[in-house]
Amino acid sequence: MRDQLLFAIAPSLAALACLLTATMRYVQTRRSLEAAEKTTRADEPAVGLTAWWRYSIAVVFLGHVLGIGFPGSLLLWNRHPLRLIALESVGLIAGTIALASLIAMAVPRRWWTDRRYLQSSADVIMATLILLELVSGLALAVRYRWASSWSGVTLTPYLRSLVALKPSVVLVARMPFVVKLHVFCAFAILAVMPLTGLARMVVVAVRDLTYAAVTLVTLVWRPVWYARRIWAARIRPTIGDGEM
Amino acid sequence: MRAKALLLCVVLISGAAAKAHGEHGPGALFQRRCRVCHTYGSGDLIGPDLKGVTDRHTREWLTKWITSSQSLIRSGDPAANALFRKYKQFPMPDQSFAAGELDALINYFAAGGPVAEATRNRRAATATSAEIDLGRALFVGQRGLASGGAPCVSCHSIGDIGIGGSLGPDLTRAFSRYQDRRLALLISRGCFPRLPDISARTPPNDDEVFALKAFLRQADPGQHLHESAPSQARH
Repeated sequence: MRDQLLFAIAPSLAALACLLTATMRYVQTRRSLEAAEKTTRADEPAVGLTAWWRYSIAVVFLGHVLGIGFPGSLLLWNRHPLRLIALESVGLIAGTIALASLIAMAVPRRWWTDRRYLQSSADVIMATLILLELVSGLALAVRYRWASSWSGVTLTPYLRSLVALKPSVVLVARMPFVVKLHVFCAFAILAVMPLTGLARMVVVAVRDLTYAAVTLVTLVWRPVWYARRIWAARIRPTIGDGEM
Repeated sequence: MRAKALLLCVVLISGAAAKAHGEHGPGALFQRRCRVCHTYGSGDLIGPDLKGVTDRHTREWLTKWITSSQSLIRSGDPAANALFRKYKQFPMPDQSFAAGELDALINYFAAGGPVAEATRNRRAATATSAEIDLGRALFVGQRGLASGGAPCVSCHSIGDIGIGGSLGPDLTRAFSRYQDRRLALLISRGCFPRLPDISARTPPNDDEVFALKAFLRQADPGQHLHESAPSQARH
């Protein structure tokens, strides 16, 4: 029952909360987005610790996305011990750098007391959850080796069952505590994210991705459109000749 | 006509003998009821080879055919009529089963029948070095499982293989602990429950189960001590 609550009901609620809150915040903050974005970039240039943090967390995030998206390919990659060790090492190093840079940014600047960094309670909760997520991720990588392989047949099918709206907790229920903590924290982050300063980043990312997708479609479609016009222009006189 | 009568007698006598001896499991059912007219993987006999029968026909069709082939033929079923013509119009005698027996028999055919059963019952001690090597390759992932599942090394470590995972227990002494048949059963079930709606993965096949079992036996130091003990006693 507890597993059902934590890993079937809570993720659905988290996704719903994320969607609703993100939509509401997007509508509210869309107009002030440009100014906010400029302020953020001016205030926090991606150098030093911030750069370390951003790049390392991006590597960790990308690794998780690829693992969830292509578990079969990942298993194929991991068949060779050297490749498996290389992949796990990259993940472990990136996770360690992310954790170290987060702590190195937070402790000297006293994030927990300075309102410039953690502006709301949601920001404090979010920072705590990210910290927990990183610590639990590193702990499971060290304690339970080759997560990139075993997660492909345990956590990935579980996550896919959530996406398919047929949640099945049987695979995650048998996992050790630290794995469950890692999974639960991920859903908690999803739920809290739209309430924090990070929401702006998500909104900007969604806007930029939409713009990129529209540009790509236009770039691909324009030559097709021109080709069709040229082809139509060539065909038309022939049809006309036939009618004559 | 005499041949048909003779066939019917043979089937009825074998059926009666089966009841007298008591039938346990679909393997025994196959041996006592079907083997008179059918083989599994050795070609046609009086009736067709039953290997792959569940791929050729649906479960519903098989149930109808086995319980009353003549009714199915009279109903005009094209597959039933084609079979009847192909096998010299020898009617297959109607079979009656206790509840669940026919389903179990069809499942047995779908799972590989007596061929697979023989592999499942084979003792790990009879494995060749090639089969042990295959087991090792499957364990460490050098060779992928047919189902596409993760290799054992993802979660388990064993003896001299230094790169084993640590989510599951060390399997160095798994053979001593579970012994032949129980270990095969555990491997064939797989370590994780499957989600049929989400993933098309299937359990390891019988050859893979046997190879893994043979490798686990070979890697188990307790097993070697157990084997060398009688020879030492003789000296």
